[in-house]
Amino acid sequence: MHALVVDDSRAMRRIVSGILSTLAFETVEADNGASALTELERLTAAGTVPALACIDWNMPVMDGLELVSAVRAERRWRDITLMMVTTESEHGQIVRALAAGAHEYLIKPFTADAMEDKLRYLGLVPAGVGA
Amino acid sequence: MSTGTDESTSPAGTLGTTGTLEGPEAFVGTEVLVELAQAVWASFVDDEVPLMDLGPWAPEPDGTPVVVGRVTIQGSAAGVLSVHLPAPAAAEAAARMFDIDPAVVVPEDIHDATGEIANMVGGNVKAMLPGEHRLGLPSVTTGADGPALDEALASATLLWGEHVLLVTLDRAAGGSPS
Repeated sequence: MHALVVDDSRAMRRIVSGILSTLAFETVEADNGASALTELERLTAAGTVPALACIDWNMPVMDGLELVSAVRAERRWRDITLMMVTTESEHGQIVRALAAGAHEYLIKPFTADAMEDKLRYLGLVPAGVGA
Repeated sequence: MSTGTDESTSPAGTLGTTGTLEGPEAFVGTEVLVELAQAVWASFVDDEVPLMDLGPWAPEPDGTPVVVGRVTIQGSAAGVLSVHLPAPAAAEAAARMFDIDPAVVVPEDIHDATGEIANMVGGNVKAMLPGEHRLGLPSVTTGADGPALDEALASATLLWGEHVLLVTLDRAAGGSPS
């Protein structure tokens, strides 16, 4: 399975990609919402639409909420599971993200186990993979 | 975020329950800085050796270079959140964060790790402030001196193994009322 990791922090992209690789994902990275859309177009053209996108909220150029809305507006990307991974922890922000079309919400800091639990709940971790 | 009080915001600062303008230290004290730093550390750096709160104590400079990650919090209760790591601690933290051999850690790894630690602690500080706030992009510098803790709005001194780390919340450039 492919996953798109969208965060303006190179460190966080490395961390999230590292966790996902242990869960059998092949990851592609983008540093903001706009470049994520470019990557999605490229992956779609290659026939490898990702099953999952992990999306930070606060990013330059195009933020995570805008990205979620843009992805949800495209029928060809309706099967992508969108998970916000962010320090935005206010209830109102979580509601906004879910209303825009995010499926899950993971607040930084998080543990690898917490991310795996979320993905397992979403059915994105094959049996026998991970802890 | 509601704090359960009647605070409101103004362009010049956050109006607290006393009717005076308040800076971020009114909402985020030493205890909170300790808890946030411990949570970030346990999640991304070391889940076996926790950060130990050393209380109100500042280490004497010993000549060890200090790597400082900073992030600005913009808004009515503006401030600057900084994480100060002795260079060997910053390198060890980077190796652990990215799960790489300490022998192959490069300055870019240290820069990324220190900036992200500041970013995450700062992001969680921001979430505790009433009203609308934004987080700036993290910056990382290396210098010889530690921070002047007596000038900080709030600070935490933490022990990680043999390393002493500092987390400070300072007044934003230009001055924020407190």
